[in-house]
Amino acid sequence: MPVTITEYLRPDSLKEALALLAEDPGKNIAVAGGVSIVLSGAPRRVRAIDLQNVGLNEIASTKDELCLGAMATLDDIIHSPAATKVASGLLPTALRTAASEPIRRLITVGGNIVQCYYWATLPPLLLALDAKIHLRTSEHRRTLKATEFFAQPPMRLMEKGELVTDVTIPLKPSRRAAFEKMAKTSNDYALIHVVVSYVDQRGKMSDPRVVVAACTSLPTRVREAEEFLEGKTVDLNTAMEAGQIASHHVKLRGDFRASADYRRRVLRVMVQRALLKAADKQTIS
Amino acid sequence: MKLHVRINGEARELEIAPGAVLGDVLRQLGLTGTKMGCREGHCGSCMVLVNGKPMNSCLLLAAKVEGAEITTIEGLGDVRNPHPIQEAFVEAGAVQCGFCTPGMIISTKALLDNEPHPSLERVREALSGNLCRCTGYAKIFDAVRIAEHKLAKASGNGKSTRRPHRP
Amino acid sequence: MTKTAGTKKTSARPEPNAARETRVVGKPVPKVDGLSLATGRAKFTADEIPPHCLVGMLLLSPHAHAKIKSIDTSEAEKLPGVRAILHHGNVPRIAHTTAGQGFPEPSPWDTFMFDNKVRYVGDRVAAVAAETRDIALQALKLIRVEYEPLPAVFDFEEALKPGAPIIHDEPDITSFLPFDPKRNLAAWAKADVGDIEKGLAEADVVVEGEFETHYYAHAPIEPHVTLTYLDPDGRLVIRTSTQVPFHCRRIVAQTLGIPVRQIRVIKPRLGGGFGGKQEILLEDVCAMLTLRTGRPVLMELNRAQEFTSSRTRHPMRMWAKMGVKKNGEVTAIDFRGILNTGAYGSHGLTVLTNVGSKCLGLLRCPNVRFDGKTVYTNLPVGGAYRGYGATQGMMALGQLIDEAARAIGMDPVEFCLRNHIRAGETHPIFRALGEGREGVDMTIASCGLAECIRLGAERFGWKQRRGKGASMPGPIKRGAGMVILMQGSSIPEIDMAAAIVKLNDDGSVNLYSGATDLGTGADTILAQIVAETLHIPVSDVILTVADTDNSPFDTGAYASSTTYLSGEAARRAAVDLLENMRQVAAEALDVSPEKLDVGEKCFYVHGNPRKTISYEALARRALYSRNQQQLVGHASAISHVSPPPFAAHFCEVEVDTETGVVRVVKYVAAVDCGVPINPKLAEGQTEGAVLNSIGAALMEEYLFNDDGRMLNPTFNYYKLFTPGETPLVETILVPTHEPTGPYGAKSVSEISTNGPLPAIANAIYDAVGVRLRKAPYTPERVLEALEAKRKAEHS
Repeated sequence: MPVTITEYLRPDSLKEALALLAEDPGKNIAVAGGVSIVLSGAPRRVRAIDLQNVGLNEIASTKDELCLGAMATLDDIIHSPAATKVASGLLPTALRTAASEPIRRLITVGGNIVQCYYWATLPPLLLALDAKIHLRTSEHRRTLKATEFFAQPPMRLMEKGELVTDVTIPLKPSRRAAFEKMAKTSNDYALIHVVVSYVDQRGKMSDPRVVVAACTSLPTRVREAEEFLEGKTVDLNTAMEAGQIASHHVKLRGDFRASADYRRRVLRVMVQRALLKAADKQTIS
Repeated sequence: MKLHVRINGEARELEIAPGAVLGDVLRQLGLTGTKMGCREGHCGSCMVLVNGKPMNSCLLLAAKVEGAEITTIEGLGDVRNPHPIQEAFVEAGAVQCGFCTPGMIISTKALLDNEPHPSLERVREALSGNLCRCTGYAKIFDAVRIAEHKLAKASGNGKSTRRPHRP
Repeated sequence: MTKTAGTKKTSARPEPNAARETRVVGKPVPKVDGLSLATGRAKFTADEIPPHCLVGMLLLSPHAHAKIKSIDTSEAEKLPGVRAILHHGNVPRIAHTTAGQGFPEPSPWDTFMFDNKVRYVGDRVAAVAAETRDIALQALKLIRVEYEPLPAVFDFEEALKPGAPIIHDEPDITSFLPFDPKRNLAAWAKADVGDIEKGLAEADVVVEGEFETHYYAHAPIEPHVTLTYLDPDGRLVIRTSTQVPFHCRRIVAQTLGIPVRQIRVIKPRLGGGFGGKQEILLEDVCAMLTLRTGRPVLMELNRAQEFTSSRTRHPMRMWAKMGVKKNGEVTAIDFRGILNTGAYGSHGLTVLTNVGSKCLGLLRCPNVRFDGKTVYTNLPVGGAYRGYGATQGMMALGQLIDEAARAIGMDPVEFCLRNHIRAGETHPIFRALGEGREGVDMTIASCGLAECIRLGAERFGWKQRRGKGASMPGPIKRGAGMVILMQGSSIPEIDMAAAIVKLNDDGSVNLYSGATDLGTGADTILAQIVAETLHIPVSDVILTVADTDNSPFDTGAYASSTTYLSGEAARRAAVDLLENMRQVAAEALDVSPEKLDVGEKCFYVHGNPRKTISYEALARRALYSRNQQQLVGHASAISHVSPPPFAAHFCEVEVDTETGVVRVVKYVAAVDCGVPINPKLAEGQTEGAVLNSIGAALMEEYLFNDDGRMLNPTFNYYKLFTPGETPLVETILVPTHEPTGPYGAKSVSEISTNGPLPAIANAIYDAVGVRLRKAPYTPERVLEALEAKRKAEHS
């Protein structure tokens, strides 16, 4: 049985939702897609505040940035023409590997990044794309960089009654990126996620990002690998070395699905492959 | 609490527990073609269309579908008047135990409504939320292909079997 | 050649069971229940809940091995809505087995409805019936159980060592077969034919290895589910997802201590079983809750419980040795193995003997030794699982064949063609290893294996695909592997199936059969066989099946017996009816019965097709006007042999040498199942069986912590292939005609389960030169093996 929901409210505006969440914050639960609520089966009794109709569903872009409403689903992003503009289609390509198509209709941007399960697909993408996370309570608003937001389990930095309202991603036309996922089946939870991105400056990498997730407790930028790649041209040797550096510096988690040692060996290969893929120099099928 | 939905074309006002999932609500209405195989969003035997889009009714809070149009397997056709996709599954040998079949057909329906001629890759993706332990999937892919042809033929005759929907 | 014999009188003009032109047999007739399933109207167990039905739930053991010192249910009983609580203190203590096998079951009676001891994490402790799920869940939490944990043993070999914790120390358990619970031995079996030492000495090369198969799940999409209620006369009705309604009735009667006549078992539509529902898991408890409360009770395993507390594939550790001469002759096979049955001995003996009888008889080899033990451990319980021992055995033998062929520089295809058993041949192992009794002498009457190998190799492109791995550039290598297989069709001299066919006013018939369609299409097969025999359309056959009140006896859906045995019973019953109809037709047409031929739904006088009587006219005459009677036919079928279907499987894999990921890129299964009664269903059986085992070979696996708790009892972490990445299997049916089977049929459902474990291992070897002797072949294991090989090459 899912959580015992004593009351289910569907506010019509963000203001109203925030006001409701501010009342007796301990007893409320914000419902985005609702998946984690159903699956958690938390024994507590809660009042549910559904965010479906509070105007956070939109995906929009300006010439400088893409804005993902917190209630947009992964499926919405995949089918959004605006979202494909980021880093040569990184978002739809990567999100297509997340869960199954019907479940992607239930997973929202806000739910995915706030819960930040280790296998979640959006958090490493947002890190690699220098996203900003926008939050609000009934009293105030704030904006955090993805690096700040994911520096700890996001739940821990969120205040009572606080919501993620949207996420913005800067649009840089020359940013290239690639994504790799290692898992048992197409919609399995990832064992390893790797996202790389960089600004292509006449063949040289500028402002590179190397992000590792699923095999770490939180999605992580690997600064050592990024520093190594700055100003370099992508070739097999550079990619291999970056893989080596990443696998050396990341603190990996092992569990019953795969040992930390195995993940280390494979992470090296995946970083290497992601870099070559980003540069269109993929040598393997 | 009250829930207002259209189920298989019929407007309903239902009294539900606020924490109930849609699949349980539908089954309690006697719509038992929607199966509960895992209650963790993996097997897809609970798949129903919500405003034309397949969703796992075991993970979907019923309260979230207020105002929605729900289509279950019973809404597609019955033994006397089956939907072409249902016929296709039988013809192809895609039905073995049949427990996953309603969910598979629901996913197929949504796919073919939106993409009348999907590639095999798209078929794989659109069905990736449905598990089958009996068939090895080969005959299910055949069924989608047969259904595609049946539907194309039917719409060619001007007899559209597809229900238009708005996302 | 022995012939199947029924109990029925010989008919005046017997319909010979010989090859002939057929109308509906051999055709891809749509499944008779296809549309009701596809429209969601067909009813599974949980789809028809009577009013005022209680919810039953199990309290399961958190310990791998513990004594229950006390159970306090007082708090739970006080909870409003709780209607009954069962535990070892308030139910009869009757030793039985949960294995739904023939009587007496060749599995130890080592199980009680509830015991004062728990033997694995997930073992039954207590059960609750309550008005709602929520209340039942709360009640379970309120039951106070005091456990005294005992040392547990998880490893096969540790369990056999002196001083190991004894899992079954209770005095009141029995088995009529080899059984020594004081040494954790649930069963053992030995066979020694020819002279193994001489055979090994004659060999030019001996290949050998230790192999191990693992714990994995049936994972039917419908979990085990049972509904029980009392009918208006107070009889107990059990509506349940079972493969064995009649065994279920008998075992529940035994366990509850009530007469069989008080029980009716109904199998509605069944959402997959694969052997896992050949087991009485919920029925006894659910029935007891109904008897205690007088109310309907529904019990369903949830997905986690389906993993931990139903049944699994028995893991097996095997040591196998094969001697071959340079010319390819096999001189000896020495096979030793330990089967892990977990905490209870369900199917522990018969799975073990099938390892020998379904594998060692496959090759012409005069010197064969088999030495198997089945051990108890404090882990989940093994059970019947599609393939039934042959899966475990072929994982080892199929790899040894590849190794042996390589060792003498022979293509495995040639090696298999040279050595496989043929029609007209027998093997002493068939007699040496039975299923709880001595086996039977059996001469193979039909064998299309050579054709399977040739056609399979050709379709697959064996010559082009094999041996290419090493020369491929880049980190991804391809390789090809193959294996040959054999299963059986029914358990000879043990299984029995019966059928009754009744003629209706309009010339249609009712078929009453105890056969249990678990999704395989058995109902359709039976309808086809009856329709063929009676010259009527399939739609004229109305089925009443798998209901112990309304169907004649049938041992159930297991041992690859339904088409072969239940099908034969249906055929004979139809023949019997036809002959009774012929008598009536002869009277009506005033000719002697021998002068009548059968046409489409009619009889006509030989040579005079216009002098005819339709079935409808005949039925009306019999029912309403002259010499009135209900025309019926009935028959029972047993078999003196278990004719093996044969198969050759070919597999191509891609191995990523940097990540260890193995992908199956091509799989061809060529199968001789005799005459396929319904080719489409036969293909479906093959494709499903193969995919099930590709999953087992690559990723499906129970993972345990040090306390014997399963870590991944969820589809989150126990992965089945989805349509997204599933490899696709190509099936080739290679018909032969089995003289003892209905219309020449043999079985098809199980055999192809046994191919992927060895075929994929052989293909991996072909690709990258490492031999995976422990399943599953996970990326981590493959990468380890590759690194070990690299290290070995460098040192």
